[in-house]
Amino acid sequence: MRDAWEMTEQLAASASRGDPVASAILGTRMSMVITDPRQHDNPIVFVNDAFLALTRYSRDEIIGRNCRFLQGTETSKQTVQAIHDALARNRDISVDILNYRKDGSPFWNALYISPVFNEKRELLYFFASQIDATARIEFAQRLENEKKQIEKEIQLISEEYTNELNIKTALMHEVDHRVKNNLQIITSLILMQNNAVADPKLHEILNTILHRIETISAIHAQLYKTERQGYVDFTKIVNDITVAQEIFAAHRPITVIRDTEPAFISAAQSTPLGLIYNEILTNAYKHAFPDDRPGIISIKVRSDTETIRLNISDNGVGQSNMLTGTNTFGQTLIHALCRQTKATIKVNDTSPGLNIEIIAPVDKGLGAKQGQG
Amino acid sequence: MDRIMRIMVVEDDVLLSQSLEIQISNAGHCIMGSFSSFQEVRECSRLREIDLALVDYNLGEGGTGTEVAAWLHEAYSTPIVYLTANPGRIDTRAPGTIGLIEKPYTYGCLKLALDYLYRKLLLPPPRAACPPCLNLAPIYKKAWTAEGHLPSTLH
Repeated sequence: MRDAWEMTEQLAASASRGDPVASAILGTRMSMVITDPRQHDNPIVFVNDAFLALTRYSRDEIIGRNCRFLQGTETSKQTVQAIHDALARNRDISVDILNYRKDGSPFWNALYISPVFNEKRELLYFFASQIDATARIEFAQRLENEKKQIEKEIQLISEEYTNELNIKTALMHEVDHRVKNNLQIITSLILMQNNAVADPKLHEILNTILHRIETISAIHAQLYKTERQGYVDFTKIVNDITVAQEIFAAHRPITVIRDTEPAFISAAQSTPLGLIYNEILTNAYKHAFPDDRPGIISIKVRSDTETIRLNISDNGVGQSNMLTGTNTFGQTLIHALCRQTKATIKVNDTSPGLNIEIIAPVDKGLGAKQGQG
Repeated sequence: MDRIMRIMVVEDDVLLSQSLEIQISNAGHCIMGSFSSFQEVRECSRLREIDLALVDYNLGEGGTGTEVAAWLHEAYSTPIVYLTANPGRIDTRAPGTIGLIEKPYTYGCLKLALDYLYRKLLLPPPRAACPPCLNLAPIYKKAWTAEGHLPSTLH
């Protein structure tokens, strides 16, 4: 016990003789402790007043004791182990450790310990300083808690949105499924009706209607297959419509030559333009090659950023109604749909046959900007 | 010599199945049976002579087309082509699945697909281009576009 008090007495004596270093150590607000590792269990041999103020112990309660009395129930075992390991290797260490005052109240101790050696590199003491870091640590912990709380709330919100989106997606799929099935049912009804009538005139009318509905079906099917959202490749629609006509007239010696390049048009434009093409092609099949004579129909599709151009020519007898504008329903339909799509239609007599050119401005609406790049 | 293709239809929508029957016979093939549910298919004893089954995916309370297809393949090795408005739901890698035709299909496309399947299934060694409306299963796509005939391992 004598040894433990010796340093305190020496420092006090030095200070009283006017030693500024001793005075500074005793008087500083930085809490300081010196322990003596050469004595059993590394006891405290000096504490300054700042340490007593921080821990609320009196000097005679702690001189001669190991520092571990500052630890308590919530003190991290890993941190204690880390300090122990550093001391065992004579290394310095800087850690935040939860310590307890005499009254049992906890505080965060920003602890720094360094070994003190003599000139022969023999270990003499450990010097430790303590700063009350409670405010800093609690602030960091509050920040961390708030961050976790916010993350939790964000996750809840995003889960809500995901659920909402899943419901909407399921609904969209259901509607899409219904629309597709209903289109199939509409064409089925026409087909069945057509099968049940004997009048060839009625047959023809029903087939015309069937082709128009199938045109819409083909466009609808393309809408879901497109790689560009809101846009469809018009050449695919042209192909579907052409195939439908070819199959219906498979017994006739008519050849269709396709010369098409990918031409993306907006979903909104696809139905009117598809119907226009269907009407013109139907007209050619109907009127250009009477008496089952052989013939060629050439289809050309071109597009640039501004316009889409559709060219349909045949080497038939010339369709008088297309030239004179005779008011058939098909004619009315073509002109109405051209007006809707702001398309111009040019009908040229190329004797033999007819050349029809449709030029429509490309819709710059939905998705046009990201689409064109 | 040539013989017609014998087709069975599994479709729960009466209008669709009736018009399908008309379209199949108009296309020159033979309809061997029309079923609206998995149950009806299982109870039928004359499925051995079927060349092709056209199967709707969504059979309502009558099950799913994939159940029907798996059963038909297991029992009779019947080749399956789906007719569906739900192409995403179908695993075309399932055994026996030749491919799918997406609804709404046009009569022209269906006829082209049937003619193509007729050539491929009944007239070996067939040479024909697959129509765009018939989405072939990966294994058939490989076999039918590369060599023009069905590899024996698929039988």
